[in-house]
Amino acid sequence: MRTVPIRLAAGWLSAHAGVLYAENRAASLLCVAASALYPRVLLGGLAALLLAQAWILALGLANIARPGIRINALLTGLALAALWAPDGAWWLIFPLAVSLGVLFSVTLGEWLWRAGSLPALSLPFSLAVWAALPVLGGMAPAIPELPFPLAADHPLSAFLSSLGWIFLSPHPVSGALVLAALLATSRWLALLAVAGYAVGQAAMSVLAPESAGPGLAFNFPLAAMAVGGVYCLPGLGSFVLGMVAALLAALAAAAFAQVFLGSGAPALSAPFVAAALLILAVARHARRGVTPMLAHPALPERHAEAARLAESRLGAPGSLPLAPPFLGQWQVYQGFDGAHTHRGPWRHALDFFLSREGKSYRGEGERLDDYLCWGLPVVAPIAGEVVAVRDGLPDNSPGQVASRVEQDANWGNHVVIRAASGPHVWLAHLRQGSVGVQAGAWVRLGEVVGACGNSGRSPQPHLHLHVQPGPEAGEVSLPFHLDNILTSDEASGHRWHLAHVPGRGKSVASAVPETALARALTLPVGRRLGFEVRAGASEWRPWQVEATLTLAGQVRLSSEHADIAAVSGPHAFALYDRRGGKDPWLDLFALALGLTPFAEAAESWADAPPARLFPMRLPARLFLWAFRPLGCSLASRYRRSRAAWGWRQIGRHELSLLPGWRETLETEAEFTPDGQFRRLAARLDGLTLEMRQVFLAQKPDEGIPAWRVSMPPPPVSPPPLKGATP
Amino acid sequence: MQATMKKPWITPTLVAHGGGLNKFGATRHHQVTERIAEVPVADLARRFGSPLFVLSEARLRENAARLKAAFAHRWPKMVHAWSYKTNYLGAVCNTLHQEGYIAEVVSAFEYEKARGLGVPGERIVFNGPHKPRVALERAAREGARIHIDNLDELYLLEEVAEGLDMTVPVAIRLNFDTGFSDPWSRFGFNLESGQALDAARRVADSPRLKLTGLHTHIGTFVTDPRAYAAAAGILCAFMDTVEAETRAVIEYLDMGGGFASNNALQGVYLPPEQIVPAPEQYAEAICDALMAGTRAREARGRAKPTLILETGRAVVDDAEWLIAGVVANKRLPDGRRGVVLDAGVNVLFTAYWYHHDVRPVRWPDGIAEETVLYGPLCMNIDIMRQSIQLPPLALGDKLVFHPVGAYNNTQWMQFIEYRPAVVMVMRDGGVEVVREREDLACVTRQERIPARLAQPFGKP
Repeated sequence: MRTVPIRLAAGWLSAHAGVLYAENRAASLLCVAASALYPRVLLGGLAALLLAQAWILALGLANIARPGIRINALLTGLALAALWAPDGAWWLIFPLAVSLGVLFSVTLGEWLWRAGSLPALSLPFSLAVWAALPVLGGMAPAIPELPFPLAADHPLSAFLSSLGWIFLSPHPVSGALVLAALLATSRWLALLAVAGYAVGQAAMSVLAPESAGPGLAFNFPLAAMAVGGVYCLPGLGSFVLGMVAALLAALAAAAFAQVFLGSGAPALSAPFVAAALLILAVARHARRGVTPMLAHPALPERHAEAARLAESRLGAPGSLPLAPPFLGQWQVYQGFDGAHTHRGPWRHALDFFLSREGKSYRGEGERLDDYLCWGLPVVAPIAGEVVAVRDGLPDNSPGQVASRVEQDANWGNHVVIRAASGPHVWLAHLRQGSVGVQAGAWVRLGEVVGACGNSGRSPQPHLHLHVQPGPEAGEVSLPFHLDNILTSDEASGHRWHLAHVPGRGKSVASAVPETALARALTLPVGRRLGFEVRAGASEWRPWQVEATLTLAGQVRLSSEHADIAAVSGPHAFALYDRRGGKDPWLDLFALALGLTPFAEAAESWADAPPARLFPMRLPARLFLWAFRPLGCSLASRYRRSRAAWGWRQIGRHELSLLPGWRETLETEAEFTPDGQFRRLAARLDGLTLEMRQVFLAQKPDEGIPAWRVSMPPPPVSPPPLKGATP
Repeated sequence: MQATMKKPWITPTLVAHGGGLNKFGATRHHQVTERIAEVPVADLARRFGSPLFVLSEARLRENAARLKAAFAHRWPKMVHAWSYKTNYLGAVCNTLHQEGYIAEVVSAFEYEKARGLGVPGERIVFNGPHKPRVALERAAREGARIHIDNLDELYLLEEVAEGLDMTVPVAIRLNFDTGFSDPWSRFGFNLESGQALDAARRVADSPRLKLTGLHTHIGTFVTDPRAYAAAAGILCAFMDTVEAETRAVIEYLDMGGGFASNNALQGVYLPPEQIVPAPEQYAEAICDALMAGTRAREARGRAKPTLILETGRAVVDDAEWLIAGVVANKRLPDGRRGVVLDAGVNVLFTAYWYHHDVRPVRWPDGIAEETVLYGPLCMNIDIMRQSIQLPPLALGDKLVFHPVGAYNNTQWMQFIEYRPAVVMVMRDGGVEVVREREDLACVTRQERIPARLAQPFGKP
């Protein structure tokens, strides 16, 4: 249990870092140091935070917008201490203004979120200080001029001073500390800050050269960072929008300076807030170019990592996941952007059929029932409501296509299912009289809705699948992908995909999960896995992880120093979002088992875990630090085989830095149907990291006693795999 | 007026029938088997001797894959089990295991055989009316699917589970009348009399047994898919009853086997190509009935049960041939020709049930006439074909019997003659011996001769 002073200190530090969206301790200390250049400013901030904490405790505001409250209170305190000398009235105004900052934070935070899912940013701070302005009178710069070797109007000192202004400490040294904090936190944010400042300052020098100065210029990097990295997915589009935000902030700053010229009212962070809110409000409606992340603001590196992993595991953003609309293994007859009919607005569509050794029929192929897929059951690829059905069109003889009579006769007999999320899924060319559902019926995933036929524009029996926004025939097609499938070819056997759009000629089957695998890889909350670990030939040391449940309902595997989110099922065991300090064993666990399908038939698959899990040598680490500010993914390939005692899974992880510069790592995982991880290992440069599970335990809960089972470690060198064991 | 023309004389001719299909099926005259799986029969006989069983790996895999696909396209959760008794040569079993088939065994011996091949216990279905205590203990410990045949076995298994201090998941075997096939009432518990439900209740009440499956096997060489549709419907209805009356949740239905192969059963008028259903027809009958029979149950939130099949004959029968050589010709008193072959019912047990397709390697000169094919045994019963139209055969000529993959390499006997070698033509065209021809040592290995009887002649 941490004592109250320690918790207060932690809150104080994190509020400083929070201004820059940072989380780590080093950044917090650098930010505190930035304001410590002016001890009065530092004290003002500290006092404000204590007051904010009192509000939070007194009203029990614990879980609502706490970071926002602290940050705005901190900024209010810093500003009052920096911009006005404490005289008689100041001592009364200070607590009132800081309290206003707290109250505005709570209310504006909620209102803006309801109005348009927008963040309040530091708007409460500006409002609170302005509210106190009439009583405080004109600003009396209350902090001393500190020496600096460069002239104040030197571009570097102007830039650094403006960064210092973020913490109301307008000195190049403070700014340098802030820049260091940014570099320690996120190189992408640092880049946005520099570029945003440059763009904004250039605009300012045209719009209002006489008002240009660090007191306004700090708005430009803030606007660029908020839009380009924190509230949107980082990328080219959001970078450009971030620069636009910096320009708009410059316009707002110039306008503010003109309107309030001579009144002495400081613009504070209003230009940044106005520009960022405007751009973010518009970005919410954007269909392309930028992906707003308003509900989950985070550092750009985290956004980028999550997006890369999501794209690799869950398909392109906005693509609808569907199960294969058939049973068993079929082939793709025509893929997306196909040669025949899947073109233009109808390019997102898949046609399936069966073929063996290049022939889709047995015998002569003159009769429909010679065709391998003719009459096979067609099943619902998603649960939903059947909104349209057609069942009466005759099936064409092989090679014949019915002349077009009406628009939707193209698709022949069909079933249209409206998914819960809105889009409509079309299953077409069904056999006459085979449709077994009626419009208005609700179908479960995998329920038989009809049989494969040859009606409509179909020269040979096949099944057509596409997704569109509405129920009318001929609408534009929407992107979709198949979920949890096995594709197969001679070379790589059965390859598993969690999300995939198979191309022409690919064999596709639904991946049926195996109960034993799912059981082995399910970690209930409170489950504790005890390992022995060693590097090379050193002594075995104990190490353990425990499955914990977060307030948001996420299960995380936590070791002493780090943790990672884990999800089990329905199709796979997956790990993501590693946080915390250094823990090579958790990294090894995450690489060896990162994405493990429950389908027994899955022989190989790919994943794209973040490169930071990779035990990199210094040159690679430096290279990535310098040239890949948003991080990058590994190209991981897994192969799995069955042995008498369970499963062995080999992962090969490749980190491509430059053409010709590649680092690779091989991991190995062996686990049994009883859920024992017999052995996890990684080999890199002749050094072997090894883990073996020695116990399984359950943490006690109300009414649930604790238990612990010892697991004897397997023989040190595992027996060779049997090649052809069934 | 035109003079009437005299019609020209046309010399009468006899035109050979061109083959093709008539109302009795394809004509079989003049058909020869020069090669088995692309390998010349003459080469095989020369290299490995005569008689000789020849398996085709490619055909076996093709059959296995076609059956699997036929069901996979119609039912989402399938398990195929290889019926060991049909052909338990290690090479055959492992080919099918590699194709994804688990093992179906019906005795302690077959269980050991499967384990010996490396099949883990949880991939074995243990059927059959005789499961000794030791075998049940091992199967329970190793997680095999045990299918109970009778009440005595149920009690014994309960004791075994008690002794091992474990709960054993089991299935019960049922027999009933499908209306389309002869009921096999000697195996399992009868459904119509209420025995089956009693047994299910008894298992459900047992603290040591857990009912997770239902098993039936409606017969053998069943050529009417409607019998399977009816059986699937009956099983589904019984599953609903059991689940309603006990706390059991049925996880799988085992429909057994019994699919016919392309072989001509004796006493059946029509040829196999006209009466034997394709795998897809069996699959459609069973899966449509299962879909209909489980729809209401699924709406109640229960997942579809896994379907287990134990097809033997339809997978292996046409993947094996028997090459036999002519050792003597004779003329029978009734005028028919008799031919003595080097292989008889000692190795081709199924000659009792089938009119196998018999073809020479090349069509000999001469007129085909009714011929009896005898085996080499000095026994009156040793008749391979009672009647077949064949031209005269020379000594050493080879005849090829097909299909012979099912029940011969398991039911053959060492009687009078040694059992011949079995070879497999591999997918790459190579030929491997998968069972050596027997010799004296194999036959006498188990014998023990008391010391007093050590010498055949002379006084002890």
